[in-house]
Amino acid sequence: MIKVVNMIPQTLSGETNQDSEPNIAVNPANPLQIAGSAFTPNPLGGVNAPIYISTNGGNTWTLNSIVPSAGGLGTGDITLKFTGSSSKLFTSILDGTSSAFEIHRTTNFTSPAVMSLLKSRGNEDQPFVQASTVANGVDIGKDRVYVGVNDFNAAGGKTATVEQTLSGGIASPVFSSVRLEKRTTLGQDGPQIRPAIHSDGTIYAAYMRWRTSSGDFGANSLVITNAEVVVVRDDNWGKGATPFTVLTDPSDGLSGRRAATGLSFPFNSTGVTAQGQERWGGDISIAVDPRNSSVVYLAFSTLVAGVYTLKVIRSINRGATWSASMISVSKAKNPALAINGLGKIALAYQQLRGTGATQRWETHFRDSLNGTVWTDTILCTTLSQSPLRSFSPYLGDYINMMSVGNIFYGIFSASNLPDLANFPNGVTYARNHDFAAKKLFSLNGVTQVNPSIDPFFFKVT
Amino acid sequence: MASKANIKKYAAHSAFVFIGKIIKPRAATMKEIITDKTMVMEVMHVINAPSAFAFIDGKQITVRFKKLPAFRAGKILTVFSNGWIFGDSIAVDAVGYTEEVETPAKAKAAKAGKNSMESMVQKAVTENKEVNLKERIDSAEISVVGEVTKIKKSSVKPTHISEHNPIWHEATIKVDDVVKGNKDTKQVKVMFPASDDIRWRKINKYKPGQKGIWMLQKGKKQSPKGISAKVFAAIPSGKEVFTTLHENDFMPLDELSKVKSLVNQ
Repeated sequence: MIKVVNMIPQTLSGETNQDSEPNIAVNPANPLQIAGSAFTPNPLGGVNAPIYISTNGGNTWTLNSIVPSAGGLGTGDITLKFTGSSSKLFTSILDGTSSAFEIHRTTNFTSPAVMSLLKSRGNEDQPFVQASTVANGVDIGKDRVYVGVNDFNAAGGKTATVEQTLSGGIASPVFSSVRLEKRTTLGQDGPQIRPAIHSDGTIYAAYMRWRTSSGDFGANSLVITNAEVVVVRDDNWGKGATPFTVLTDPSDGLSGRRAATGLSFPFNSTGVTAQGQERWGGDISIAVDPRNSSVVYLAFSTLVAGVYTLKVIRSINRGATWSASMISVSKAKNPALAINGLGKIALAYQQLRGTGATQRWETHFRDSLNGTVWTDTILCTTLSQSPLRSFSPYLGDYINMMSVGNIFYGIFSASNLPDLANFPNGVTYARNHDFAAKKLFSLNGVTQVNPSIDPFFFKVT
Repeated sequence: MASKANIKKYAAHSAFVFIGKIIKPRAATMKEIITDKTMVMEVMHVINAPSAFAFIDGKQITVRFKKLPAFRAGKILTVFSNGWIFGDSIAVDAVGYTEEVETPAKAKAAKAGKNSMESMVQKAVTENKEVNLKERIDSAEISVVGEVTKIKKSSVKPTHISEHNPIWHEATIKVDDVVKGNKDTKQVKVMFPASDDIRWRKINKYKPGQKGIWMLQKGKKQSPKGISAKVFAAIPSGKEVFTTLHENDFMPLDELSKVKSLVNQ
């Protein structure tokens, strides 16, 4: 069964913000508790930015302005995750005022109390958080937090970094910067550094090693060439003296297995009309099987015959070797992988279909029990040129999905035009709307509101 | 009655100003809220709010105060506030309030009158905007009226590649009139971030043929007030670098008389 929910509450029926680049956190200890984020400013100003919260499994949503970050501007990049049994929520953001990379925490995400600032550092990009609570062993109850971040402060252009704490629950957690990159780069790695946690203490992280390039970023012609998706692993929560170094590449013996090589992709500075107003920039998603930490799936993007193409590969031996591409999707971005308690792999992504005035953005959900045969469900399909972009990214540089038990929970951003034909598996709206007339209305239920980009929650059971 | 100074201060720091009636002290419209500093109020009349909240009249909302005032149900207040929680209902944080006995009907009727709270707030909002503009004029090295004749990519190189890079460009402006500064100036150049990334979405950007009034700010010697830290930190170095990073650093031509009057104050 599939459920899709527009996350804008009724009291914000008049809003027209571009709420792109969403992320989701489901509390493993209580899946009725879900948090979401996007480029959503505080609708009425103030000093704190909002997160989306739901306490009924995603059926209805509230904006709780508790992230200390220039409310009227919102945050820059933002992701969020719950720990495990401790139910703490962590956010990693680029601050809306300073652009500093920050990590925040709340012990109760429904509380109106402002989140605590735990870490702040400038000159970073695209923080992406994962968190867990140790369920057994000597460290039982400890909260572990891993934030993939592109740290431009790193020496030698080896910028792929995981910021980690092994005691995220104490009053003042200590975070350490683990440098993942061990090889030369063109001066930096790509912005996508994605951790994945298994409850047995196995932590994977995948990043894009940038090696060469052509073109010019400012002219929107930059192409990253000969890039590599590198996977690192730690087998004990990142606790040792040299964390994330157990997985080496046979070609050079260095830490970090090159799971995919020879990749090329544009790294756009701005959206392109022919690309559905969106920017391409390389993608990475990684997910580990909750039943078996040796099984890990990886999604990434590369040009195939000049077409931006999403691929998924798998390792069944802890990242030592990788399969050929198990699925390939052209003109698709924003892959989000998750594996549920049955070992079923799910892939969500956003694909551009068609050209010109009829071109559409389709958000797909696909799953597979074996990685070979995949279902294909369209969650949402909307015209790509409407509404017009107010900034980049149009839909986001990522969407997100995770599993708790056997259920997949995800989030994507799309046009909120209330047309049931755009949602083949149904949708619910709390904001004022008329599906028959395909119109949105303000708080008074009368004045028409223009379509904009909204975050949508989805659940697949 | 709050002082004019207080009204001006409150108005400067609040996005949502309304006249409302207290429905219930120490109460809230949403169950998650601790009610020791909150009241349920009915919005009777919106004085100032973003357009998305134009139709909130008649709704009951939660107002959180720094210190809960000792008022009973039925009391009418003018509340200056910012957003907090948005769900089944709305909760706002009060920046300040005034104990107005004025009713919304009177407020509407007396909108143009100087004793009306609504006109006082609107006047404060206008005055605050003019104060902000005056500060940018004072901070500017030179203020000119003119037209963009050329745009080219700046030679300023980024230290790294990021989707959030400003992508500095340089606009050449043919000067028609100098409002402040060297009257012999015929041409000036201004650097601006051409990126449409979210980080730069609210910063002035220019196109050839664009006309207007520029308050040109010299490098990091300009006043940082009203410019976010991330933007100020990104200002390129260089002796003659002019930027217009504050929203008031560029004004449309129909604001010329106001700009000129502020220069002369």
